[in-house]
Amino acid sequence: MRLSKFIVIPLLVISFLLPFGLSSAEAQNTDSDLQSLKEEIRRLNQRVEEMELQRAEERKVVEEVKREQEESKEQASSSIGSYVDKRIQEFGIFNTSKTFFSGYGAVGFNKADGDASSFSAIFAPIFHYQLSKRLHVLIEPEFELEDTELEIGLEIGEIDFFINDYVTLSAGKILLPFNVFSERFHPTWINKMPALPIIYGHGGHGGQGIVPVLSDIGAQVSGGIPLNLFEGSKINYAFYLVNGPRIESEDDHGDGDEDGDEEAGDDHDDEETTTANEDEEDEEHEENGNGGTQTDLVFGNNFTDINSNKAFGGRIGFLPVWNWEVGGSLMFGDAEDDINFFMYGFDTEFQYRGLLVLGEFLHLGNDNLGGGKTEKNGYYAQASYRLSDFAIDNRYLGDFINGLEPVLRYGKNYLPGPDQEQFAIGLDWWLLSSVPLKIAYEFNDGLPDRLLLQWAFGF
Amino acid sequence: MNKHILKKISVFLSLLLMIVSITSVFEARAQGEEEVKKRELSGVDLWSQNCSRCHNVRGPQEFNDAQWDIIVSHMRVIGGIPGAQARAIAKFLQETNNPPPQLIAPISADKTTEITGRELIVDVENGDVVNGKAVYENNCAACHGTSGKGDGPAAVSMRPKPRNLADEEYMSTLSDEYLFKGITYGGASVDKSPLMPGWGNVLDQKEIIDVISYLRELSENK
Repeated sequence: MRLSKFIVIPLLVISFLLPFGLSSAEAQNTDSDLQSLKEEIRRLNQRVEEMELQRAEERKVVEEVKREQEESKEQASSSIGSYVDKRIQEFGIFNTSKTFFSGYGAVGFNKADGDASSFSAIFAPIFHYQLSKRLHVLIEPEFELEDTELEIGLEIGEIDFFINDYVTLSAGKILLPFNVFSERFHPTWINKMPALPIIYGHGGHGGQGIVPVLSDIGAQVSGGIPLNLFEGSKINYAFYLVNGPRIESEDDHGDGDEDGDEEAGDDHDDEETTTANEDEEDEEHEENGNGGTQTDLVFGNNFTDINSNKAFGGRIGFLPVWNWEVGGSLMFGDAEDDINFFMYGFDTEFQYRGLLVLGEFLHLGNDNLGGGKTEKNGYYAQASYRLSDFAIDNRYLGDFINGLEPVLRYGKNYLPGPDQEQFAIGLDWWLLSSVPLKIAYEFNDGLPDRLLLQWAFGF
Repeated sequence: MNKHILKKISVFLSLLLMIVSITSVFEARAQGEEEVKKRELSGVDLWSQNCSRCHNVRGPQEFNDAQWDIIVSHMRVIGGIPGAQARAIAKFLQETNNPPPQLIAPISADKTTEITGRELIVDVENGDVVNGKAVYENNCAACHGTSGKGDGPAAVSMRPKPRNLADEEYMSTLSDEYLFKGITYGGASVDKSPLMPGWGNVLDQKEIIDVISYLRELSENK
């Protein structure tokens, strides 16, 4: 009993005092929390103030930039020149202009064995007019300084109507998509050599070529269709109905008509260069039964057709992958009653990095021309390689080397007269992407050897 | 009129009608498909592939929007380029031929890109490398190549050549902000080749940051 008294009384005292002790400790903790909360709020306030200041600074910078822009605009519009610029922009002459002026040209120098050397020049401006999103007009006159004259021609004068994504109707004087050189590769800044491939040229009177760069008056339907085979697979096609060639006679000394499709530096068709072949030509003319007169098909000069026989032709190109194309072309018609012609050709182009390979074959056959059936066949293959993959530490030397592009071209024409064979080696130096300086040497059979230099430009 | 010419005109018109009919059906089908899936080749791919097949490529900055419209129309005829591809080429050229407007916009909640404020914070650490690779291959590989070595199809005729982005030593000298500015506003904005167009009108800021993240990985794991 006594023992329980000793235990119970202290327990009662402790239980009475305990709440006071606990509440005192709790109070101490609450004070500390309040202090830390106050500190936190103070820091947050400080952070918000800093951010507001930062934000104000940012706004200030933005407003300053805007004000500067406004001021510069006002200053710009205050001068007469700038006023004109502003008016031009308002009228939208630049950004909404429907006209565009481009083109190409070249200055050439050539030296053929047995002939005097000569400079030459060609300039072909191209005027575009966009009538609407679907209608496009293109005019390309051509100016060429040759012998004692300035030759002026109209290489292209066409209107294109985009019927849908896959069909375009063109009409006028068009470049014929017979093989690919005439339509895509003949501009001076695109052609890797200073001269045309051996199958192209005026041909007549012992000159180079089977056909000129082909253009004619008529209508064409063309387009492209993507194929879901490999990357970039597609088909492109073109079919055309044109006036076609006409028959012209030319005496021994070359009085016949000539067109202006040759390039600066490429004058294999000039009378001077053909004198070495006159004996052989005489034989050919006699074979044709015309005595001293050569009769030939002339392409591209039949502006007002002399008959109702139109020429029909076309090309289909197939790209299994984006960088390889093979194409087949066909063209036929009557040049005059009972004198028909039939042409077919094949072409291929392959591009990989700096390498570009191009090849074409062309057959031209006609009945009753010069009293009999004649056939002309020709082909060429060309390879060029831009040295852009060569990494050279010296910047200037590297720039120079990377701008070089060696070119090789081999071709042969099988003609009724003597065959023509050509091996050409050349080097291009690209000053800009559309301005090459070209030098080439042609080793020819059936034509004089030639050294050719050309400074070409596209714009 | 000579019966031969009548025959030829009939053949020509028949061919024209046949082609228009077939391609109209083709076009209607293609337009339907275009809604559900995008074309595989981007505008820049089509530009480099179609142009470099015949001649040196011409850079976007060489001509203005209207001029590119006309040039692409002309090339569409010469090259037999389908209409949709021609439009994609023109769109790419027109979007990259002018520097984009100055950007003042948040990239994410806590980062701000400020070109005009002369302060640029680019959060490359959190960039999406997988998306960056896809964006790079669609837009940059035509010149810089899929390997980043500056050997894309359009690079052949470019002087100077596109940079080797797989070169770790060179890439380590470039800050993320420098790359962001160069990609957004073009090479000229960072005193490099003006042939490098500004992509700020084509890619959004996140895509550019993703590309930089991918480039970091590309150069470090070359």
